[in-house]
Amino acid sequence: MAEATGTADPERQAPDGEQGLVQRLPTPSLSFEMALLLPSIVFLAVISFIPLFALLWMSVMEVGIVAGRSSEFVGLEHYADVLTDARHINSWWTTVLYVGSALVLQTVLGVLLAVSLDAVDRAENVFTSVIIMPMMVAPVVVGLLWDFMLSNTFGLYAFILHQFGLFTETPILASDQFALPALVIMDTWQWTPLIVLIVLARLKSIPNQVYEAAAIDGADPWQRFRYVTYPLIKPAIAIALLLRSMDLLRFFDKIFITTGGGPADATKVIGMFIYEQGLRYQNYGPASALGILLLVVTIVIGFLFVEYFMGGAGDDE
Amino acid sequence: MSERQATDGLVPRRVREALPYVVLGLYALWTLVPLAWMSVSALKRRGDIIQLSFVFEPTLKNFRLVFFESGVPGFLFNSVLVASVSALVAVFFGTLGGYALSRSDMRGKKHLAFWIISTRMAPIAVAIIPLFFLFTRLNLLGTYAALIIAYSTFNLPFAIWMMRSFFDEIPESIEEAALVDGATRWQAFRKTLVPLVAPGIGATAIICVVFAWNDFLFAFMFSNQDTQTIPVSAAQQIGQEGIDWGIVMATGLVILAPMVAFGMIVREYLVEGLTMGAVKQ
Repeated sequence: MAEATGTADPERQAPDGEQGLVQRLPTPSLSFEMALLLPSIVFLAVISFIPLFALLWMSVMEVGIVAGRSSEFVGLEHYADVLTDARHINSWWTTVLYVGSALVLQTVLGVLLAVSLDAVDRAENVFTSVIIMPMMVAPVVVGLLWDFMLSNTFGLYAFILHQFGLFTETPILASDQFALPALVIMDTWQWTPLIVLIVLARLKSIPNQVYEAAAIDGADPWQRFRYVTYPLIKPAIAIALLLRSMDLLRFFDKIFITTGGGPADATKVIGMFIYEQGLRYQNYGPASALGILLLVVTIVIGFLFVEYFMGGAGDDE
Repeated sequence: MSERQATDGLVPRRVREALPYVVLGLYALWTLVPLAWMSVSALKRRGDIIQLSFVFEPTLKNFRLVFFESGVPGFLFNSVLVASVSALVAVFFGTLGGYALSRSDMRGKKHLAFWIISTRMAPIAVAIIPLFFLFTRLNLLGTYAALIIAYSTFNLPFAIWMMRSFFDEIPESIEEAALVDGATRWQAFRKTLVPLVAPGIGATAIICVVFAWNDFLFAFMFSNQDTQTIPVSAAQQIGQEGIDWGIVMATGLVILAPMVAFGMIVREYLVEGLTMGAVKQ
């Protein structure tokens, strides 16, 4: 039992624990566990620190790619660039818009669907099986499929929209106004189910008595959702939001396949921008500086995520 | 009386009970239409695709072209090889590491665990540039090894965290009993604990396969004509003039069908897997 309290509290160097610790250290248990973990630590260190230092180095250098020209130290110039240059600022805004609208749409839909799944008595399994399918589909295939659905000449959805007189001139993915919303919808099609599953898992753990009590108190369905269900699923929504925002920042496969960041930078989110600058145009300096900044953002989100369920979220279990 | 009124509210009971089914039905339709259209289109001739025909004579021509007259079988082999090897590597070291992380009581364990998972959080664009240089330097570009290493950057931390959460669920008294019976720590781990988490190992392996199989950007950057995976080949089909969508859709189905099947197999582990163990079903 001492073990359980020990792991729950990382700061367990209490005076009375001192003795136990001294006795425990020489036992082979520590080294046994480290021995098992060591290969992974070494691999991950190599694969994360070398790239990180390479990235940091490139972000403060003007890397000479032409033979004969050497690299030059330029300090924080690239960082200044990526925070002030109009194209970069545009890319940050595009990212905020893309991530923000996808999160709102997916959360609203996800909660609605999870509550619906929780409410039905029949066919819950069938509905869940259908709804989760897109998550398993490779992002490239999702991109290709939606490219096809929205194609002005072959696309079923484009055809339907044409019947309402919409997008008859410019295809949606070539429209600088609607390409980004179309990408948000693609991602929503694919990843709303994750939010459904996360929220549903939480809903299932709420005992029925809670709702019965609310009903006896005279709460109508909306009030029951607002004052009973919603506060209880809030931690689940937070987990979903953090996870989704990390992935939305992390991947750009669908954008790469469908619009390539265009038209005219309209869908050039940061990930796409870094890829293009770094690997297509060999602008390693700005790409690396941008990469470092994006990394910092995701690590902060990741830290919140881990803190959330490793520590803070534990109290209402 | 008051309870009845409260539960019935303003909306008639029958409507309220039907509402979730309507919502779910509509959403299921929204999910299925693109997938169904994809399947149908894969069975169409080019002319039928262009005309958006709903009535047409189905043909297996696209699948025949994909399987017998294109590079797809080779790319399929590459995908199977790379995805399964990277999953095996990740699950092997992930099981060892996950156990260690679960049972260890060393100081700074929390920080170590966070560092491990943070290596997986790096945006693909951020990871891809330095890895590209690293692989160029090591002469690994275009090899299977490059892809397996690249996939291990996300699968290994994932597997460690997943396996850790499975080991966390097993009470320590079980291995203590094995130790009392005279087993060494390794024997207790290997003979007593590993069999108990076997379903978790299987689920983790399958999810690792899905992650690796579905990757496009790493494979696009680090593979060549011979080691290319199937998502890369699908993407290249639209780079050409006059895209033959029937073939693209057929290739797409070949990519997604096994993964959707895997998703159904590991359904009860899916939330846990996709949330890195934060949510349990």
